Amino acid sequence: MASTPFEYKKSLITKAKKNKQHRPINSAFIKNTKLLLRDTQGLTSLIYIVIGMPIAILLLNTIYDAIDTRLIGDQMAMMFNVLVILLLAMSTNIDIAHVFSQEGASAYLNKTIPQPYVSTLSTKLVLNGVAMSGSLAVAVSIFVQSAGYSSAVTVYMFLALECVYLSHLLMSAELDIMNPQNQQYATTGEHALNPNDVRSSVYAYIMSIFVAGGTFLLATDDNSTVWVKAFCVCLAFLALRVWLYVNKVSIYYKER
Amino acid sequence: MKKANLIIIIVIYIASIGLISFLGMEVSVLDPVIPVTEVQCINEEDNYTTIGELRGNMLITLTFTTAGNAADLSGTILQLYWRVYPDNASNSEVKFVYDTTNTNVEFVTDGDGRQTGTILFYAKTVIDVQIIATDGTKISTTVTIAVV
Repeated sequence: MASTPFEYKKSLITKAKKNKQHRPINSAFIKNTKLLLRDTQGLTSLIYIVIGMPIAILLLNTIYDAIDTRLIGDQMAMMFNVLVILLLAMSTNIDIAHVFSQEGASAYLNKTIPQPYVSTLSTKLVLNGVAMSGSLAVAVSIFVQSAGYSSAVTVYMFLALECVYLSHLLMSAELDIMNPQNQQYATTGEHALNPNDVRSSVYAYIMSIFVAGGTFLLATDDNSTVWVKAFCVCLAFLALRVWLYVNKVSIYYKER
Repeated sequence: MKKANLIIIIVIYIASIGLISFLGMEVSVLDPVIPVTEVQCINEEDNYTTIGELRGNMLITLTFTTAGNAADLSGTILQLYWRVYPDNASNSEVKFVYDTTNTNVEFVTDGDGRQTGTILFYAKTVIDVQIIATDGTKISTTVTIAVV
């Protein structure tokens, strides 16, 4: 017959793996990485943006370079570069706004790991954060090379944008922690109108516009120190978000 | 990423190019009009003429010998030299305004009817010649010519 029965001719390749003992935090990281790798949609979206963002910035600056701009045009180019980089980077954080709820009924397992909640939950953010930070560094380098800024500006600009990105990452995670949608994901496996996703998107737009507009205004005032000032503000904001994240995890993940 | 976010980013991406092209481009004026700011008579003294000043104007004095002849440019003639500032003025043409009722004087014109600045004198006379820019600014300088 043309078909092969799967019931009794199934190839059973089983390899016995030795059970290794990991540190709790490593174990949580490996588990969350595997979960991300099995989520085809989320992984594809992340890879597209990680690779696509530097290419998009390269293309954008190639077009800008072809325009004979004056000073205000150069400042606008910087503003739009920042805006596009942040919007693309933060768009990956929208998936973080349901990363804990996505586990549905098994989300409670996070509470069973005998470790501080913050470290366990944060392992879910690591892979996304590292991948996008690398992409962000490449995108910033491409822009700076095109604009002809100094290496010091490159570092400050990257650090400022990284702080904004990480702040939004933590904000998105906080949204899911404060308003979990486990029931919805446990029932249907998806949530088309997740309010946390919507809020994360809105925050992404607001923060991108605020940072891009702020750097534009600072650049019109004093172009030399704009990224130092921006970095200081963004670092302070990140410190605030880290403090709020740690506090909210400890409050909302307390067993009632 | 949701479709709506992707569409918004693409719109911002394209709009940024349009905005920079519209508001951020270097302004370059093609073929600007540069007006005349000053006209100077730059005649210098030689064996036949002396340069002086009369009532704030340049005074050119020359001696009458014989009547000027337009055919071979002989006799008592004077070539006026002038300079228009700035050097890159859009229209550096000038015209000469003088007392046309004075029959002792004639300005030589070229084939197109333009005055060349060459003056023929038929007798002793004194005449004021105003060299005026023709670009519409009416910038001018006046030269007094005395043929004695």
